[in-house]
Amino acid sequence: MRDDLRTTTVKRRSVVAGALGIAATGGSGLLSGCGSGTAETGADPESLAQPPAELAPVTTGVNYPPGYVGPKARRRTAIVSEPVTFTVVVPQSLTVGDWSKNEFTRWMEQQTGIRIRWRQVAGKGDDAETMTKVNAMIAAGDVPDAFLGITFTRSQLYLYGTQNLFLDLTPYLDRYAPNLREAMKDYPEAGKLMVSPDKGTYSFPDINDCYHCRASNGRALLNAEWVREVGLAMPTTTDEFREVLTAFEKADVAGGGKTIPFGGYKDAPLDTYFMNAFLYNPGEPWLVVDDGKVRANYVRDEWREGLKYLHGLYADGLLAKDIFTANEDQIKRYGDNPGGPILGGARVYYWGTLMTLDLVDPKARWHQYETMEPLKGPAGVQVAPWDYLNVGLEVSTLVVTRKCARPDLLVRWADYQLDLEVVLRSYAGPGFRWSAKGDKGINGRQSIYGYDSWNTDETKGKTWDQYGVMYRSGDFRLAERVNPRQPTFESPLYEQTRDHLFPYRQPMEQQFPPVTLEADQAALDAEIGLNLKTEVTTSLAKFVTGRLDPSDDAQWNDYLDRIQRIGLQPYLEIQQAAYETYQG
Amino acid sequence: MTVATATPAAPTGTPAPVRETRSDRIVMICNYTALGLFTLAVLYPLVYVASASLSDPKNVVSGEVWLWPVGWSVEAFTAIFDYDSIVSGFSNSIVYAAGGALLATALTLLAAYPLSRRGLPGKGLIMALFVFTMMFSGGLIPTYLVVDRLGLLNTRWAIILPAALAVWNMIITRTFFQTTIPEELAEAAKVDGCSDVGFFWRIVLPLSKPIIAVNLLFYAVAQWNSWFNALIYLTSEHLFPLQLVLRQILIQNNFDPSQVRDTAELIRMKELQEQLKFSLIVIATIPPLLIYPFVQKHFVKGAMVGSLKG
Amino acid sequence: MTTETLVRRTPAHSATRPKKQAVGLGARMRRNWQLYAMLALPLLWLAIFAYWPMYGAIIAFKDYNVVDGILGSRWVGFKHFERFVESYQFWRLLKNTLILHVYELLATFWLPILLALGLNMARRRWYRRSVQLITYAPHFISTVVVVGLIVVIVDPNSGVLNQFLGLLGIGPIDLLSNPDYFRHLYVWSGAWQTMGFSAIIYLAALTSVAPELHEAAIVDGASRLRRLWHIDLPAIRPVAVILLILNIGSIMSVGFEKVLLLQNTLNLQTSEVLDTYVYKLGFASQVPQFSYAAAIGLFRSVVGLALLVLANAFARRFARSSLW
Repeated sequence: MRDDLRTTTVKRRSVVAGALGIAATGGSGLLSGCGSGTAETGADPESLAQPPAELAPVTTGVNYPPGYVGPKARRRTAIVSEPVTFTVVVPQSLTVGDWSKNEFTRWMEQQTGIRIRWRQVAGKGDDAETMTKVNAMIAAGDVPDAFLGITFTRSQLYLYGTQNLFLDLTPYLDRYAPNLREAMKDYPEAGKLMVSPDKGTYSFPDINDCYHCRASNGRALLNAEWVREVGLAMPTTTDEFREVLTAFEKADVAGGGKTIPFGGYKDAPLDTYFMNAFLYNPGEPWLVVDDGKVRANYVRDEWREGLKYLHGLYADGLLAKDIFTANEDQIKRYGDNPGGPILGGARVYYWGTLMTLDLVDPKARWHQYETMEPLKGPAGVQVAPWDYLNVGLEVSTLVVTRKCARPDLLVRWADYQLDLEVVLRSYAGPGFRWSAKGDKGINGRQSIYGYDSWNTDETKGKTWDQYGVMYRSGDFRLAERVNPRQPTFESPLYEQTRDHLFPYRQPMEQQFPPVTLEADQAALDAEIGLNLKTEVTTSLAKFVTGRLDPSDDAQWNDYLDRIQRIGLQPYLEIQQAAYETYQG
Repeated sequence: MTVATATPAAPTGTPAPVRETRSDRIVMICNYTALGLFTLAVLYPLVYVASASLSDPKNVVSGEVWLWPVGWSVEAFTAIFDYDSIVSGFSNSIVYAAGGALLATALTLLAAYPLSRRGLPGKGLIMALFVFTMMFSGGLIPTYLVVDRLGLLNTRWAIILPAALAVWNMIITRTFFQTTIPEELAEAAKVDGCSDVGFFWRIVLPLSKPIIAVNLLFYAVAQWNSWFNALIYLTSEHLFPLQLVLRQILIQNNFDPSQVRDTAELIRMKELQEQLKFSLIVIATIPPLLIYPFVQKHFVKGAMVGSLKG
Repeated sequence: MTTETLVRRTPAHSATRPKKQAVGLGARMRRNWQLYAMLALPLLWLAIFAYWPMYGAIIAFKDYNVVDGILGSRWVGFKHFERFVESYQFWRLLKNTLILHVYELLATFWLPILLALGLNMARRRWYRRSVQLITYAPHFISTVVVVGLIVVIVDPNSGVLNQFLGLLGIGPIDLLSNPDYFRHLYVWSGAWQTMGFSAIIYLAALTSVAPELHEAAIVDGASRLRRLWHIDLPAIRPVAVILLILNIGSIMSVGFEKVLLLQNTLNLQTSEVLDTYVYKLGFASQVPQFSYAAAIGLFRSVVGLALLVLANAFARRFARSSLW
């Protein structure tokens, strides 16, 4: 109850402020913020003449954990006093429902005074479907004021940005986005990740610092109960791992010959876990930076050593026969096997891929499976690939086009959404609650907020799913209250990532960053990259399953030869140049 | 010209044989057995889908359902009605299928009949014009521009008009006319003072019920199953057809798992997918199954000749 | 007018040419003005929705970028075609696509015909109708689910197929991981799914057979198989020939979505086809490559059209039935 009251007062205050026109900066009498779409309008000069927006004072009553870094609840005021309308293209979502009837849409309109005429595009925003439609719109000159939740790649933003189709938001972000400027202080890499090679910023970014996502590629699960059953310890080296699997196989722990020592499925590459016992391998496109030089992993001798190791495991029957062909349903069928577990372990991203999660029963099957530490190889390599750069900041969340006459208002509208309470409403709906003092979050510290249901039938039509602009820092995400009676997998996922993977991460300089390519380079990169990917993954599967023998020099050299013929050299040159541009 | 108005007699199947030889009996038995076996092979997946839609999703995922429902539950069907987009998609699809089928069948018949007549000058050229478009198209963007220019974007017409003729169907229909409407009949009618349009209206159409039925069915089914035009031309959810919503659930939830920011969302969408996958297919399959018997009614052997004799 | 004489003719054989009248072209066209009037609407549709957008195909010869538009983009000649033909995977893609389609054609073309003939022969009405309805239904199951079912059925550990093979003493076969089996899996599952729907067209054709023909043949003592061969088969031949020609024209495309879903790293060697490659290229590319895709599409159309013309010439010569 108390929480509800607080929300109402906040709301009332901002409505009052809006009515008095305290925060109304310009826009008066301007009923439509943007041109109707015929003329090449461009930004109104008025839009840069408004007084800059200042960071508002923090509201009281929210329990932040000590040392908290992330979004804060601040005093919010309406952006305009007279309603202004923008046309925005958004993806279709079952959770959001009809965007124009959505509850958060209505709330935002009330609070900010900015109205949106939604144009809803089928697809979830980053798939072939959405992009087909969006490209057709752009090509036909049928351009809205902005795109929200449509995932343009960095190269696309750059391309359309330099062609003056997308607006460079730099001056607007400097003047009208105090929340974003604050967030960028928390994330020093953000500035570098946001700008294009020409120093333009062609989108309003979204920050979503997902801790466990950074380690996703290096995650593999092992049945700890089985390990105890065969009288061994959790393996830490490649040899010990082989020993454990052999023991599973020998003891036939599942019974009836059903034991599958180690499984996997086609969407979770094996190399991102196992190769890291031989060299740092982040997975596709298998590029790493070595002293400023971009290198490809799959032609190195360490890679070959890794193949030999996997080849041995497979030959001994320690890897599931269908480890390269099973689909997600299949691995789940093994994981859910009625009557008891049959999988010793698997290369999956988290428990939910492996089985249906029972979150209530503390003895549920998924608790048996534990995140493995990276294995130490014969040469002492032991890495958990850590994604510093691709996770955390996403470009392209809100893209403003040249059709828009008042980009300043849209930027303020986006910045408004970075406020803690607005983030929660956008993401979880109005049913969230502020946590009381002493409530524990995912990371075991003071929690800030909680909710009974997230993304369920109850929140349908009330949130913007995850398409809105948000600031979700690591601390924010981990400050979600854990219901002690129904703990989710979030805490174990966090803890096991922190204890088993984080300590083995590679230095950040070794990671190949997300780069931006020129259109011509992008075409070449796509073609060679696809052929390389096909060659590398196919050959990896063949080397492991015994169709090729990694110990055979002739076969290995054939493989290297094919890679060269596909065009590894020109490919690496493109990447090197793009990397140097990124570094500035 | 009483022939045209005669109602088709409905003799069914091969007329009763005078005598049946042993070899004929063997052929018949083989035929029935082969048809039966094939039907069973097709039936299995259908039963599986139906059973899966009526089972607890958990039992489907774990592979316990293989023939009959396990953990009986109609929740998957009731859940469908919680989604406005599914309900409105369903009714939109019916509109598109019915409207599209009627318009397209009319255009197809109008094109196919003249092109089936032998003496028509320029027929070859016109046929070539049609066939050429089967192989070459302008591609997505120029077509979008045309639809935009005609002011059809985000209207129901954008779904119906661009799909209002399939050259494939037109060719099949033409072949039918060629084989079933003798040229002499048209010539004779002309001598009797019947115009081409009159002949088409009063003689050809009544004689062509099977092919009209096939056209209606094919166009309706094509519209019912199509989603691409809707994807490209529509931007209001209240106009979306069912297949677009279905794809949203069935295909687009194949997240790239390494990129999932929120595992909770992944689970939620997976559950939704597992729950609705089969019931949606059942729902989407029922209308075409329901209309099939009406079409089937016209596949009666001798219908055409019967009407001529009447 | 005499309908009796018409009935006696079997429709498929009524191919006597009309008497050529010695009238000029203009007069003939004027005489047929109503037929042209009927064609007006379909032709108008064709002009607007098929031919108007066709100028867009020129982007295959340009470096298309969305801001400059179709007409404003830079000409680059055959650059995209060269790039495609010289690409590392070109020959393999071409081979895989052709083999898959030809195999599919060979394996599945005659099945709906068989089904239709069998159904037509069956006398029990309820049996015929239910078989028809059931075999027609799988057409509506979406590809995702069909592939899901395939995976369950052929699963090496628990699938029905391998349990059955096990009874025969054949070791478990992992159909999905073996590139040799991919094509069989694709083609035969497709046959199973679409046979009933494709048979409809032949069933409709069989309705044009006059029952008197069968009666007369029975009186002459013709067996069932003979009647099937001499009466039913000729009735569907024109349609079958036309369908075959059209099928040959589309030889460069296959059911892309199903191929994609059946793919895995172990069967890519045979399962990578033109469509999946272009799709992946689109995904792999940070910038959409409209021109390149258009060039591949154009390449495919040209090959398809050439084959279509060839097939049509053959059909005209040997089967006396043709598209134009």
